[in-house]
Amino acid sequence: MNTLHNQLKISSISHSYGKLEAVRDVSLTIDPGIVHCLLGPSGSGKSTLLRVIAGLEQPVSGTVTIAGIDVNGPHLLEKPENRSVGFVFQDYALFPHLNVLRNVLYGMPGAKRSEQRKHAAQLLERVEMAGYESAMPHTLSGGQQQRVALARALARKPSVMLLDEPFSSLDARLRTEVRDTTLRVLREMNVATLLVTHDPREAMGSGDWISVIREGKLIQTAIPEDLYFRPVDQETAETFGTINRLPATQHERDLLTPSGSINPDTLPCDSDGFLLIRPELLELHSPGNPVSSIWTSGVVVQVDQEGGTNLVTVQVKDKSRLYARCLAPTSWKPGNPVQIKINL
Amino acid sequence: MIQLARVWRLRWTWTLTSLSIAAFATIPLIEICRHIGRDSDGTWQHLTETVLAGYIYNTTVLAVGVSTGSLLMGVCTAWLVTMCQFPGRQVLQFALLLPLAIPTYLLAYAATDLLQFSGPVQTLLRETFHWTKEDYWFPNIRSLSGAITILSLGLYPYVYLASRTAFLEQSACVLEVSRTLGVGPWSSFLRVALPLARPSIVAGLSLTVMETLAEFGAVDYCAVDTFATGIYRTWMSLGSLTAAAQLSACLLGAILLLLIIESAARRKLRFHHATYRYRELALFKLRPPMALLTLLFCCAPVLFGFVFPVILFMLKSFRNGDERAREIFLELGQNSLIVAALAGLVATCLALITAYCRRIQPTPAVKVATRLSGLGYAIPGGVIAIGLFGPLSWIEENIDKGADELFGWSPGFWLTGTMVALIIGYQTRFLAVALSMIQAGLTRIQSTLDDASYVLGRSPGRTLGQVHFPLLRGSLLCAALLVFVDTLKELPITLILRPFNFETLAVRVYQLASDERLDEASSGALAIIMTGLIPVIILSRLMSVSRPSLNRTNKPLP
Repeated sequence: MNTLHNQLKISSISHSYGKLEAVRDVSLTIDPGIVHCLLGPSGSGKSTLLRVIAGLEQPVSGTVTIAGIDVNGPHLLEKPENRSVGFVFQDYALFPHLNVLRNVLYGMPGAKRSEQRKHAAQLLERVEMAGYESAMPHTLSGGQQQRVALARALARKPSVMLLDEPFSSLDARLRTEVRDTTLRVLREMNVATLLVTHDPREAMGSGDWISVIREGKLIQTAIPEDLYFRPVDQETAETFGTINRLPATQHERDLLTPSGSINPDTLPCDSDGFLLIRPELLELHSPGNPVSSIWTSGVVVQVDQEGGTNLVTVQVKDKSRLYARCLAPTSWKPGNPVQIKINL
Repeated sequence: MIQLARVWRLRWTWTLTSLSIAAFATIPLIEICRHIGRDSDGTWQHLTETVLAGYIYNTTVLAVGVSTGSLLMGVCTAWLVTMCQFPGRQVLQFALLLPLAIPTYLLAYAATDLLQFSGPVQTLLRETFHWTKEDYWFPNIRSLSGAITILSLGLYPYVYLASRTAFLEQSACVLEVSRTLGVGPWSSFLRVALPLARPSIVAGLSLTVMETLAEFGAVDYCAVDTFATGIYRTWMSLGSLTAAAQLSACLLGAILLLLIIESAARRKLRFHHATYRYRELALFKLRPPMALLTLLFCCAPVLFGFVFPVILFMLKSFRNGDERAREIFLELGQNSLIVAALAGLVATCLALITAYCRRIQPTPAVKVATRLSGLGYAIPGGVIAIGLFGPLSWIEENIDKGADELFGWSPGFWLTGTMVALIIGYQTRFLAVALSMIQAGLTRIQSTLDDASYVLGRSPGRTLGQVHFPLLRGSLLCAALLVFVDTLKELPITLILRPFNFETLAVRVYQLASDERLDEASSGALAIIMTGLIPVIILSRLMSVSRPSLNRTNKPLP
């Protein structure tokens, strides 16, 4: 039973608003202390899924299990107020008529008043908001409001924490800082966390696991590295940046591409049989260099500065283009002939 | 299975409460409809042969006349104070709302008193020019045209308010574009500003027409027979509930038609702001002769619709109000306060429940129930009273009979013999006022606060108490105040449903004025006017925050 403690499990959840199918047959399991990111464009059903888990929406079908207890089933619906769930809203939804302390105390269960206050003080300290007890929400900055909202959600000692784009209204520099604090606290408290975001960089930076959702369907669930280097389709791949997409046909053990043949065992292929290779995996060499297992060769046509790296566009034999990323500064100039190696 | 799961989710108590409030609000309508086509022992026959044609003619002419009058006064003054720079503009933009504080029947009493043969105006004319009765013609205020003038003066602020809000919301950019395209200021008004403001003006106008159709006191005093006075007379003098209900049904038909026309007109006329850039309007500076003319034009409605009547009542009250009259007014004032405060409180509670249920559970049934609960404002007071009288008596009789059989004790006239019937009547009519105020307040509370509260372990009921109630305090107070003032001024419901020997300030003022004893009525009239100022102040404060530049809710939407 211990493994079920603080675990969130959803199986085959579907939900629709009238004719619009918002969530289609989604299943996920999040273990305690794990931060799971749900990444998708707006309108992809990710917020709906959060609301279903919290009990704010009744799904059409499927079950939600929180800490081993079914809260949603065909015959059963636990009201949101009886679920062990914390929810941080995109707009934080702090009660504007209550000060910070009373916002945190709002959802705190029973016990003595003095103990509640002590617990609230601990929570505020944990989110680095001690000393703001009597401040009213509108006097706080976005980041501070976010941390109070987190403390308030944690006050019920939830098994599961749901974060709905909690960092999207913060400016870029503050975002990383608040995100780190938030996720550290959640991991420390061993809570299963589901974080919804539309920002791929945020998902990469904060998730132990990432699920990509599109049009209500889960497309891929993986750890960040796998998602980056082994996306299941082009759209997912392009979410995280430039990728080379090559038509390929099977030829004995190797994959034949217009640019040459490749051993496919370690390379991802999407459902249409295209090869997907990140620019980081391509290594450029001067034609004179003696390098083993050169895949193909071509001519540099463009070099884009990206700060720490450069994106080099190479035109290969059949006029198709390949992208390679190398550390800046590079000596490649348009017109240079190059040899390309796949670096695995 | 899906169906079952959804039903499970419903919070039944909320839905049921909302539905029963709506059911109560629709009782008068059902009762009126029940009487259509019934035999009224020849009364209906008698009415059609004698007065019905007159009712139709007078009501139609009155409605058309008042619409024209209030459109002229309301739209023009709104445009002038919004767009032109002239002395007194700042004061006038709020002062133009003042006539709303005076119930139209008091305006009628004042106008008659001032303009009658023995009144100050005619006396002054005779003395100055040494005329006698035969030497001159003077308009008779107790006529259809008199009633039109009085009602236009009393009701134009609805149109003024609607059009001013619309003009304020228009961005100056739109008008400036028109000017750069070579169209002059007046032409721009007619071709751009006015068409854009049309949906709001239609809304304000329909409110005016609704009030005109429901108008009882002023019309009755001007001796113009309309449906509203006809309904009252058929019930009070002829004693025929059925005939009164049938007259009511005719009036309701007209109102329904009006509502359909209005919604059709507004649907066709819905505009979206093409630009989100809002710029403060640059005012046209008027040269002295024009400025003076404008000032006079804008002052006239305020003077005739508010200042003169108030001065008249004040003079009468100070000069002629005797001790005894004051004592009676104190006692009646107490009655009025109790009834109005109770009505305000009950209406606010019911409206809060209805509006909150609509928020947390917007099922089709609840949506319909909310609409029905707010329907009463379109139904004239007299119609509501007639529609309630039958059902309430029936309930009372049956409970009385039952109690007598069971316990050998009869509770008597606990409904129609007490304030209860009166309060129910007021609820039916004024619930809409409280409802719209509270709904507006609720929409300003973001829905994530509800969700946050549920997720933090609160039921909807406790959320209402701990989150919405404190945040809504202002709206709730406004709602209660508006209903309070409306109740205080109300005439026909009070006249028909009040318990025997129970009088309110409004009723006594009405009766004294009917007996031509305006001097004695003046203190009561003043008291009613003073309380009537409360909603005007609320309105003008609301109006001053509706400027987009100050209003944060008007931010452009992505």
